Amino acid sequence: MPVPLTDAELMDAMRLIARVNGLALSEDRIARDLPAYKGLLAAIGKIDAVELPLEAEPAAIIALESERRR
Amino acid sequence: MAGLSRRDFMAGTVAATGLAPALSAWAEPQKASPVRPAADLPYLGLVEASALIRARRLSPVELVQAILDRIERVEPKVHAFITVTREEALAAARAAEQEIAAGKYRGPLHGIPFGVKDTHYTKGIRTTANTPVLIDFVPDRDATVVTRIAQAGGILVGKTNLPEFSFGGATDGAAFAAANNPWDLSRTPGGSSSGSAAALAAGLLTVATGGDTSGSIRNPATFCGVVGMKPTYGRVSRHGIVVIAWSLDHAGPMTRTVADNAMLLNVIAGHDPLDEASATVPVPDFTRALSRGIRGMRVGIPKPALFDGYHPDVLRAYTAALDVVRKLGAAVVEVDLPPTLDVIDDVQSIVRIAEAASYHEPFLRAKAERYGKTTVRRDVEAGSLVTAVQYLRAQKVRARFVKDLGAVFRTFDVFMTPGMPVPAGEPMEQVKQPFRRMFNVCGFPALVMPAGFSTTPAGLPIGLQIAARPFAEEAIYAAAAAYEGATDWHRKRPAL
Repeated sequence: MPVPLTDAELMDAMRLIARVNGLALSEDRIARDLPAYKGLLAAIGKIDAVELPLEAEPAAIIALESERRR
Repeated sequence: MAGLSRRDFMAGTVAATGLAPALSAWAEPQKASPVRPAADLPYLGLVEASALIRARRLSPVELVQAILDRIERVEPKVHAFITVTREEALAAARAAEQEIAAGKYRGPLHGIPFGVKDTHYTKGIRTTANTPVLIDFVPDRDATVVTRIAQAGGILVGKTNLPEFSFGGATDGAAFAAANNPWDLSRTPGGSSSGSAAALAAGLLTVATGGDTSGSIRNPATFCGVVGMKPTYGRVSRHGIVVIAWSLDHAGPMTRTVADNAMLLNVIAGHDPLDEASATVPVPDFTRALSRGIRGMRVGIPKPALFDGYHPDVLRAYTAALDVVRKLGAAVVEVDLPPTLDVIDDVQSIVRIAEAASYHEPFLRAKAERYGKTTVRRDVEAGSLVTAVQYLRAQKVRARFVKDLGAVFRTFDVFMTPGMPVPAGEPMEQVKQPFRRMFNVCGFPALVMPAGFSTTPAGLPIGLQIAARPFAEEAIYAAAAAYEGATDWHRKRPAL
């Protein structure tokens, strides 16, 4: 999370993203979900700190190969 | 049993096996002792039970009945099951008995009672994942794992307990009562394959399967003192198993011994065209690795600093296990792990919850009010807010970790850590690196097995985890069987 946000700002963001995603979150649900969302943002912050080359590609579905075939 | 008596079942084997004394025991049960007291049957291992059934010294009906009788007595304390398929199991046992008597022995699983986590689809039998959302779900097909065990002659005895939708490390009673640890009924059996581990420890199943997305086979197997294998990603089909996160989900065997585990993996492993991630690599006979020993193996272990926060009893048992391994002729070497290990649990959290949110999308739209009183709905709603860019960044770090870890794992044969950092129910907050989710992120195989008991608190199982490079399950079984052969932790039973 590059810029720290207040709980009120985060809840605003949650309302908007949920609406964009077509998910109807009540005010009660927004409040309940906030701690979990903050936890995810903390994890994302740590992941963002890892330096990756521009060419880095995601492992969308990992495909493993037997060592015997190497 | 229509058309076949117990005497008939035994009669065909005398000449072939030379088991006349045993046969007379079965044929005249009122005059002689059986091969083994019925009270011992629930703890009979797969290797031993299958040998007796093959030799017709043990009837599948007798074995299944003994298991069902014990479930009736013990299950109210343990809550290992969501559904017990009593009548179906007895009917299948009778059919197996007839088939075997007719000379149609299918292999080591024939006539063996098994259980599956209640995420595995079972045709005509409810599959709830312990959630009110799926409380009425009766699949019209079996999961591939279930199909393979059933085709091998296994007899489904029940669907085992778990936390709602397999979320979390302990059963939560979302739709059905929470499972208890047979070693201390006041403690958690771990999760999410809680019921499978608890049932094995309590002698309520001969073998079982579980699922592992964040350690969900290895965590309860450790806490309950049994053997659990998370095979290489793609080794065992995920088809027909309720999803947590596609790229992290694994299914695998859970047993009381290493040999039983290898034997069950033989049956459930192999390519499945119904699973997009199923590997096409050949499946060896894993039981052939059991006698290889560990002499000459190179065993990688983490640097001690990564064990910060571990329970002292766990570290004591781990050190003792490494001493055993050294005495058996292996070289134990400390290795450096990739720096991305520091964030790999965070990577797993984001990948897991974003994929889970995608799976749960239809439930959140149509059945959100039906979730149990757990944190699952909260977690998947929050996961729905993770952006594609955030998810893909986690997947980029994952790709680098898999590549770097692969290079490290090519420098040794197996890698050993404690099974869990603490005994069941003890606090985990100070633990720096649990060595659990990392193997879901990379997909490498990892097995846990009994390696001791705690002293404070007393009598809780402690485990040893053995991992290896992709598709090197044989090396794991070789090392695990050698360690098991030199110790007797797997022979201990909880007092129930």
